[in-house]
Amino acid sequence: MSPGKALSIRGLATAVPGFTLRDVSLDVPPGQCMVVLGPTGSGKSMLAETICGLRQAAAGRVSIGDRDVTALDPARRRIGYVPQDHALLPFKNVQQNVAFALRAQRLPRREVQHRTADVLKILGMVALARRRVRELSGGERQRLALGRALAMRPELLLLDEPLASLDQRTAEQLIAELLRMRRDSGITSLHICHSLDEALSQADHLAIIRQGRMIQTGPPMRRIRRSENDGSHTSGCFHHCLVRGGAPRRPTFGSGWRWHCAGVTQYQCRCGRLWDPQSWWNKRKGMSWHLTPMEPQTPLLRRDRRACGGGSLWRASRWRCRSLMACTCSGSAA
Amino acid sequence: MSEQAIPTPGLVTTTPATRPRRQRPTLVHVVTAATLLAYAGMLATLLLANAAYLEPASFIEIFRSADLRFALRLSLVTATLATLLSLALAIPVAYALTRVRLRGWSLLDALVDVPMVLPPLVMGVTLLVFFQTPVGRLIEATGLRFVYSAAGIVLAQFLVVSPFAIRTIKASLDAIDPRVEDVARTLGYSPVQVFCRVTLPMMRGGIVAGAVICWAQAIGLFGPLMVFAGTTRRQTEVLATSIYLELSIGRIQMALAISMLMLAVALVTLWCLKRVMGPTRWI
Repeated sequence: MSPGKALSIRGLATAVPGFTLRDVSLDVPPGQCMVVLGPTGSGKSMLAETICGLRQAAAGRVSIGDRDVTALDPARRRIGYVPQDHALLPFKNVQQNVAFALRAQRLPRREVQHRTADVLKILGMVALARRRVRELSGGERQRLALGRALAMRPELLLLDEPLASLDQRTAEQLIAELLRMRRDSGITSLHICHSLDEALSQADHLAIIRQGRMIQTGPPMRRIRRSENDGSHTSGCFHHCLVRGGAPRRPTFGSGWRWHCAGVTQYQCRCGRLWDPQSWWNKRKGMSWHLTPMEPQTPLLRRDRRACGGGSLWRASRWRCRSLMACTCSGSAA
Repeated sequence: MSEQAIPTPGLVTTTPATRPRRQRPTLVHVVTAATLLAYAGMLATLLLANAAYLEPASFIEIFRSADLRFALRLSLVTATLATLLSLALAIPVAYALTRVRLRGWSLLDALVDVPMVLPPLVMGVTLLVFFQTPVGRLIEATGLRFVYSAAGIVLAQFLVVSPFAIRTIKASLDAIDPRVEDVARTLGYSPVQVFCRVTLPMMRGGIVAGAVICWAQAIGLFGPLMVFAGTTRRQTEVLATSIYLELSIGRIQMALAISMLMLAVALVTLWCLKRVMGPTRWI
C-alpha cells in the first residue's frame, strides 16, 4: 500500500452558526497516528469534515505530503474517511461496498475484483462477501467501513470516532485490527475520539481539543499530565484515569483527577490490553503507568483480599468497568 | 426439533418462545379494539352491499361498450403520463427541499404542499381561469390545447397529484443519512455521480411508493377534470367521468360496475404499496 505521507494543518478555521473552530494546527509525521481527543461538542467531527473537504475551511491550510489540498474537491484529496456511523451503502452487499470505493478510480474491472478480494481477505470477511449491510453486526459494519476506506489506498486515514457505536469487546477487537492495519499499511492516520482509553491505545501523538480550539498537542503522556494541572480533562467525557506507580494509596473520590497507585512493576491485564503498557510506559518514563477506569462518583477500584503473589489485586467494582482495565497485580513493589 | 435443542442452564422457559405473552386486556385495549372492529365492519358492510347490488352482466358490458373501453384506456394513459411527469418534477424538487439550505426555504416547502390541501375542484377552476388570461391564451395559441382536451386531463392530474410524489420522495430522502453521500464524495465520486449512484438508489423505495400513490390518485380524480377538461364521451372521458355520466342517465348498474373496477384497481395499488413499503427499511 501507499507509504504514509505527513499531514500538516496550519491555522485551520471554519464556522457554523453558533460555533467556530479556529486556529487548528497539527503535524502528523508520515506513518504515525495522531489522536484528537475532546469532549462531545468540541468540534472534533467538524475538524474531520473540514480536513476531508466536506466543509469549507474559512482560513488555514491542509497539506498531505507536499500537496496542498485545502482547495481541492473531497473526491481528489485521497483521504480515507471513516465516520462514526460507518455510512455504508445499504443497497449493496459487502463485496459491492468495497468495489464501490475502487470503481471511483476508474480501474479496470479485473483489477477491481482482484483488489476487492484482497481487502475482504484482510478484513476476514470473505465468507460474508454476499451479505447485505443490514445483516452485519455493528463491529462488522465498522470493519467494512474501515476496509472500504483503505481499499482506495488513501494517503491519510481519517477516523471519526470509529468505535463510538460499538460495545466494549467489539471496540477492543477493532482497536487491535486498527493497529494491525496501520502497521501493515504504514498509513498516516488521524483518529478522533472522546475516550482517553481509546486514545492512548492508538496515539503516537495526542491533541486535545476543547470548544473549537486545540489546547494541547504532543506525545501522549506529557499532554495528559499537563491537562491534569490545568484541569482541562475534567469535562466529564473522560472516564478513565491514570494509575501511577509508587506507594499504594487508596483511590480518592473527588472531582477532577483521580489516581491511585498500584505500586507494582509486574501486572497482567485481565481483559487483555491491546498494547503492552509496561514496555510502552517504560520506554517513555521508566516508570510504570497504566490505565484504570474511573467513573465520576463511582468507587471503581477496591482491594481484593485474594492477594496474588505478594501483591494486591485491584479490581473494578462496577460492571461497566469490567471490560476496561482491571489489573491483577503480582510481584513486588517498584 | 425441541428434543435436539441444547438445554440452557439458568434459562427455563415454560411456554414456547414464539407465542407472545398473553396480556390482560385493559380498558384502553377494549375501547380501541371496539372502534377498530366497528370501522372495519362499516367498510365491509358498504362493500358487501355494493357487491350484492351488482349484476355481474354489467361487468361484461364495460368491456363491450366502445365508450367505456375508450374511457378505460384514456384513464390508464393519462394517469401514467401524469405519474411520470410528477416523478420527473418530484425527484429534483424533493432533493432541493432536503439538501439545499437557503433563507426562506421553509416557505417554499410550505408552498409545495398547497396543492395537497387545496380542494381538487378549486384546482380545476384555477386552471380554467388561467387559460383565459393572456398568458394562457398564448400557450393555447402555440397549438398545445389544454382546455377541454386530453392534454388538460394530464395537466390537471399532474398538478393535483405531484405534491403526493414530492412528499413521499422527500420522506425517503430525509431518511437517508447524508454522511453516506459525504463518504462517497471522499471516495472519489463527483456530486453528479454521487446523486446517480448513491442518492437515487437509496430513494428507490420512495420513488416507487410515490409513483403508486400518484397513479392511484390520478385514476380516481374527477372534480377538476369535469371543470377543466369537460365530460365529453370519447374525448375527455375517463373512468371517473364515466361513473358520473352513467349515473346522470340513470344506469346505476353500469356506474356501480365501473366503481367496482376502480375499487379493484385501488386494492391492487394498495397491495403494491404494501409490498414496496415493506422492504425499504435499510438498516
